[in-house]
Order: sequence, then structure tokens, then C-alpha cells
Amino acid sequence: MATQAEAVDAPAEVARWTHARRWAALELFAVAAAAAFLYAVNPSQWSPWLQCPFHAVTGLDCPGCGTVRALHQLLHGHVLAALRLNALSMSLLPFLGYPFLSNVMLVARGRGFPRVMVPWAVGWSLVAVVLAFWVLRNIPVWPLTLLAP
Amino acid sequence: MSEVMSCPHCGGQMSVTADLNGQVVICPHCRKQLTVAPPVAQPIPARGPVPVAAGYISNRLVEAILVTLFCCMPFGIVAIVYAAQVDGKLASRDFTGARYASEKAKNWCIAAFVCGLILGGSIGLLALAGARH
Repeated sequence: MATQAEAVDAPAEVARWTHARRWAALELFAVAAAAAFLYAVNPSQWSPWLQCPFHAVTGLDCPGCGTVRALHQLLHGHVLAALRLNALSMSLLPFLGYPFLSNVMLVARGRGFPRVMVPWAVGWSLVAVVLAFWVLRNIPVWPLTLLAP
Repeated sequence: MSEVMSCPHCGGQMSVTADLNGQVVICPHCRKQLTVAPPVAQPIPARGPVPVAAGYISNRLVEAILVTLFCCMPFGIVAIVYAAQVDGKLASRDFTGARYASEKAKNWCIAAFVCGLILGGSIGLLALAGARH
């Protein structure tokens, strides 16, 4: 049976735990657990357990290298250190905030934010930025070395 | 009394009663406003497999970005490429194409996650084993 459409001024239903709402709660729990873990543990000092395969094989940096360390720094308030480790992920983090907050609202109020449709130009720019970052951070010339952890 | 219609924004199915015809409602999936159109007769196959019900089409962009940044595989970038196409196709009402891109994005996210886990874990285990000696 399809989900019921809502009238524009209908109040958010707090009681109904739909499938989407349960998944959102699980996601929030996972994020909270990961944040707590990353706050406590410094990934630089506990490294060999889960390494980037690309970096291990080629010695080069993938676009994600440094993200986990950057998150640790960010959780401790060191924004510049975080940007120095992986500028790309830290710049994308605020954009991921909208769906994250939407999930928070979905769990708390039963209704999330309206979906933002991403124009195709933005999507393809994202692909270009990730690829450019991947190449640029591996060029051992200052100031591009600032992009590498 | 209830008809099932698809959201023109995200493709998600919702049930609407006849008294809502012409009214503005909120899609329960993407939460955007839409006007309830009078029901259009949909062809129903008499027998054979039931076509996949139109459901909410997620652009999987968040998952693709996360997988690219954490699992360190080129697969994540492929996932972003597919995810980037979904909303554009939805805007041009190409629901089939959007669903296809969304499915591909999802599968490449899973592939990137699994491969990253296996490869990263193996390298980690090898490093630990090497360190023991």
C-alpha cells in the first residue's frame, strides 16, 4: 500500500516509525558512535588496521586520504589542521550537513527536510573537483603539497 | 476510493483520495509540494510479472561521496558519476533513466565499500602479521 500523501499544513506525525525513520535512526546512531570513537582515538597513532589500498600499493594519495585523521582534528576543534589533512572532505562536510540534519528531524519530528534536487552541472562539477583534487595533491610542488596529508 | 499516483519530482508512489484532486499536497518521500492530478488510466498487465512499482528514487549522492572519501577505491568515483545523473533525469521526467542511474550508483557504492573493506583489511592484517616478526 502506498504511503499517504500529506496535506500541506498537516502536522508532522511524531508517533509513526516508518521504515525510513528507522533507517535514519540507525544512521544517526552510527554517526554518533563513529564520532565518539574518532574523538577518543587518534588515527595517526593506531594506523595499520585499516589502510587505504591505493596508498599502500602506489604510494600516492587517493582523494580520501587523510579524511579520518582530519575528522579527528575537527572533533578536537583544530579546523586548520583538519583542512591541511584533507581540504576536499572538510569542504564537502557542510553540504552533507543538510541530509544529516534532515535525518535528525526525521527521527525527532517524524518529518525531514524537503529534498534538494542536485542540478546535473553541480553533479558533474563534483566529479571534476574530486578528480582534480586526486591529481593535484600528488604533485610534489608547493603550494600543491598543502593538499596532501 | 484511493488512487495511487507518482510524485512528479522523485517518482515515489503515494495514495491520494478523490477529494484531493487539484489540491496541493506534500509528497511523503521527498517532501516537495505537488498538485494532485486527476487520475490517468494506467495499463495493468493481465498476467506475467508485475512491473516494479514506482518508488522513491534516491540520488545516492551522499553515499557515493562517503564511499569515495572513506573506501579509497576508484569505484566510488564511478558511483558519483551515476549519482550525479539521477536528479537531472528526474527533472526531465525520465523516471526509467533516473531509476537506472540510482541503481547503478547504489551497486557501485556497495562494490566500493566491499572492496575497500577487503583490500584495506587484508593490507592491515598483513601489516600486523609482518610487525609480529
